[in-house]
Amino acid sequence: MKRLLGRVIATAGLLAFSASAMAEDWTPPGPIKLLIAFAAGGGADTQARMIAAELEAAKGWKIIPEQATGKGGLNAVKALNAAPKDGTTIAMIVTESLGYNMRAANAGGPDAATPITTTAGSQMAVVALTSKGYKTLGDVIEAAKGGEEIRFGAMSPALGDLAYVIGKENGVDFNIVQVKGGKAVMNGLNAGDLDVGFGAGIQAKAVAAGEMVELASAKSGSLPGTPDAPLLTEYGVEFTNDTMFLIAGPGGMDPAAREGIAAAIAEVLNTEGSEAAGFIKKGFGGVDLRAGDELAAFIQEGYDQAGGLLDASAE
Amino acid sequence: MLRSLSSSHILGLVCILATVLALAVWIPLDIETGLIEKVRRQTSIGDSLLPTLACGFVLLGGLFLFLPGKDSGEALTGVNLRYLILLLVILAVAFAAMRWLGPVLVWAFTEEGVYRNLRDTAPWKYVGYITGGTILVSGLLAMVEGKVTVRGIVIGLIATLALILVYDLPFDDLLLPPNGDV
Repeated sequence: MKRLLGRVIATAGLLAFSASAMAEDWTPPGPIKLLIAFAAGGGADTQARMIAAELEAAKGWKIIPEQATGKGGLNAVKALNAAPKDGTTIAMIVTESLGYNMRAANAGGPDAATPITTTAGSQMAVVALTSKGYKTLGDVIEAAKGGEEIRFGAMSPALGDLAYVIGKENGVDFNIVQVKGGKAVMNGLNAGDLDVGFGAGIQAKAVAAGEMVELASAKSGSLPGTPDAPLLTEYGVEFTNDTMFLIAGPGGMDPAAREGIAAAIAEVLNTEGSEAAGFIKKGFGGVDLRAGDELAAFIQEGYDQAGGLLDASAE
Repeated sequence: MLRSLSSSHILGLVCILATVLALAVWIPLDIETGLIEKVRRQTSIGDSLLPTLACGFVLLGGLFLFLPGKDSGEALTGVNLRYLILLLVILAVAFAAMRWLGPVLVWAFTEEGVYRNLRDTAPWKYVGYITGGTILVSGLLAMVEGKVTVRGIVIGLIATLALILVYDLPFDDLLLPPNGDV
């Protein structure tokens, strides 16, 4: 029995070692096209390009970044699926692309793309300028109930729906303004065109400087910059936005390529002194790597939950 | 019937037929969203608005050309048709060379065999662009001059190399045609 157990453990160890060695050994057969589902020059685009540059330096791979914006990442997913599945075409999207956006557009299931690895989470919060005088989301709701028109900036349809549900659950009607990107929300707040808006982490510097305040966490957990900020559940909202930046490949991608790319990205982002990791820490709260079954389950959960938000915001 | 129509009428007719085809077949089949989309309280421009507007303008131009009583211009001649066919043949040959010469040569002369994997590797990445670009420029020059000359070929080659110098060499992440789409 002892001998059998020993063999089982040895075999399991060997299998684990082979899988890890396979990921280490994988090299792309040619240049990798990196589709970026975000506007050029923004935080997400910069993050993707910095990771690409560090992968090139560390692994000797050739990576060619290319913008593929539109439809909340679904255009990038569509382009992915017209490409070979051998790891030579990947995309930087968000988990929301395979969840809410996929479901809202009725464009298929989350298996339309192969999730490779996340790179970072978001610090999704409801944000306002400190000068507005709001301390929490409750103050904004009270102001709306008092007849004040609240212009609420959202940078994705899912966040627009979330803002709508916040209003609905609290008996107020926000003027929800859909803008392109988190930077546009910040610009809108600073220019006085918006009263409150969502920030995915871009607000961190302004919050630290006391220029902005995080009125509520739109995540399922607390915010590192404002740990005392209330959660949306305190306002009767059962939905959150835990979207993460995601590197994905075409649906049905070669598993060796998937593991090889995930391992390489983990290697560069875990390297001491990585500029990409430093940028991610400043802009998005820090590197957050999830891959394999854990990532697949996270994406499936997001897709399943999206149905609830869609239903709640359609009422 | 074509003989009784002027070249302007025929051009107008081609525009009308092409836009009707685009409006009735291409746009409905290929573009998912309508002219204006109202999704989840947000009203936005649909993907088909811009091509539909463009088709509308071309259709309008076609109707103006085709309207009876307008200045009909000269009738379509064999010279007109030859010019048009020659132009289309030069364009087709140039673009076919640009797209397929690299893949064919890689398949025939390398162990790798897959052009996509060498699309950023010299000399393969330049083969199609240089050949197709040279055929395009020198072919159009030859068409205008009425003869193929060494001077025209050299100008075509230099023009293509100049474009490589401007668009390829300074940029690490830019791919020349057709390499971004293979």
